[in-house]
Amino acid sequence: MSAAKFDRRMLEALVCPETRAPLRYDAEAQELISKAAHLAFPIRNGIPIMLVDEARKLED
Amino acid sequence: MQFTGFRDDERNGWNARADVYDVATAQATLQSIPMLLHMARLYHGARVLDMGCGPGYLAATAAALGAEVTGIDFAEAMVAQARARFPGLDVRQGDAEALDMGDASVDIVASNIVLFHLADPARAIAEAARVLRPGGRFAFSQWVGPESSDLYREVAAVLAEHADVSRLSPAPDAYALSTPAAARAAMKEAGFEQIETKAVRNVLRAPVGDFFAFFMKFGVRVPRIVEAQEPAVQDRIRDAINARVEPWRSASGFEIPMPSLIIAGAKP
Repeated sequence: MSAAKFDRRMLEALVCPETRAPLRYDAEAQELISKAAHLAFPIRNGIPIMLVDEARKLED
Repeated sequence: MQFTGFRDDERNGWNARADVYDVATAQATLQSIPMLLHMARLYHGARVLDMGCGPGYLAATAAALGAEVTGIDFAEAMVAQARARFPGLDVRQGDAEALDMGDASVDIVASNIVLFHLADPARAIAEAARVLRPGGRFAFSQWVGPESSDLYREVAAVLAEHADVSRLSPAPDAYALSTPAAARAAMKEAGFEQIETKAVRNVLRAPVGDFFAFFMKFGVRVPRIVEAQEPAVQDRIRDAINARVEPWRSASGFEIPMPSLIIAGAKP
């Protein structure tokens, strides 16, 4: 359900709130990846959670 | 000062109040929306960001008038309420102090009774300026402070007499942007021009009964102060507030003036 509900078009307008760089959509993990900030923003029930303190930190 | 404790208190407080917004907070905040959208110069097709959208009323109003609206709120329960109330509205969880939108990507930013809930309102104003296109407009509202608000004059008097605010996390001044001069200065600082201010005569409507109990659902800041006091002090605050709002009680409930200030400006 969450995968279907997330609108890919929305991704074009979104940027990383920390680096303002574009994001990559990981459909399987339901995450928006900010490579520059090493952060993965979760998408829950189709809603992107664009808060830095809720994002998963990525290893280098 | 980071005000991280204050930030957490506000977020938790609004999550807890998402389900009762209509019967409490909405009873005064929504009255600012028509003037806010007027001063934002809303137009059909405009790309609008509702910064701190709560359950989505401002965003949905702008969308009904033909705007392409995105709403962001940092409380997940508010985002869920907005999605449930207004299906199809683009709402997500985000931070007004660190927006997830590109530079110059919207035509209008609107924010209704939000900035004093933030740890760093100046940063949110700067973010609004960043995401606006040149010529785009930012409009926001704030409650007028105790010197010109019947409700907040009475509440402030009671808290000053009974409450010890040092018992909770330090908070920024709730009324820092509540006068035209202060709001203009903050807008100018962020680079806005053509700054306008306007007062709206909001009236808080509360049902017959225990006004204090109603008011504890209305906002977050005052309830946090009250909850931090000893039980006996809380009782004194309850009695004092209920006594002070008597002049505005009628058979149908309370109607207490609590004006708001709307501030708008254009990005050069």
